[in-house]
Amino acid sequence: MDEATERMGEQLRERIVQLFGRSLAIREVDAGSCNGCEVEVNALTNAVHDIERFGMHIVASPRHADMLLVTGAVTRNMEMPLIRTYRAVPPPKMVVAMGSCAASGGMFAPSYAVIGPVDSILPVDAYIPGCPPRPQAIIQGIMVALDRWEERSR
Amino acid sequence: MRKLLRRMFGYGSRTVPYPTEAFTPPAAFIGRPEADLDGCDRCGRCAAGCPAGSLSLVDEGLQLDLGSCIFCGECARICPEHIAMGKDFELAARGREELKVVFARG
Repeated sequence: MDEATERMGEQLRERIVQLFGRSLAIREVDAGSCNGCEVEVNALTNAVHDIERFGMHIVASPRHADMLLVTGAVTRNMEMPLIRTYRAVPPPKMVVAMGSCAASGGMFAPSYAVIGPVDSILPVDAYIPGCPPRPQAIIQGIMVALDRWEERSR
Repeated sequence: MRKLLRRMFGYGSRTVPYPTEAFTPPAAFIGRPEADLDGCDRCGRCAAGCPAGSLSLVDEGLQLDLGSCIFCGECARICPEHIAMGKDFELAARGREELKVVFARG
């Protein structure tokens, strides 16, 4: 990729991050998880952790979403639904793999029912380790995906 | 009625101001494993006992793959001399390779 195209790509990403930093619609997708990560995502919208103060909200359809938050090791049954969900998100879009199952297949990678981690199916922008990750760790992971983590201490 | 309203609005903000302020997890929280390999003889029991296969012995020392770690504490139980479970939870990364942490051999 030549330098001009790379610079354009950088500027595009900066612009997307600028927009997403003000208002981010997150669609959570369970690609075959144990639901531990879902419980922590539930906790994100309560009064204690409150991601709404960052302008992030959880939406009901991938068509409304800017970002897919994928949990679970991708099972064979969930491969096509996950791909169709990803295609349903209008660009620009981001994917964040949450939890050790989504990041690497976790403990279930050798299973006959599991295809693998999320990055074997979709391009992933950030990985959040944890089993399950704390709500604060999820907030950090989304901010890392948005390139906002480095500028937080201002 | 007035007492109820006073109680409802008397609580104030319950939001934890993360990440504007640093957050200390509770005492029972299990975070990232921390290893001090001073005097480690590379017996490999930690890597053999890890249920998720996250630990492996590499040339530089001990490699921990945070992407597959389930934070169970088994490695710390097997080798309390060199491994302890810390409190670090801010572990997110953009790339898969950044999740592989290497503890240098002592």
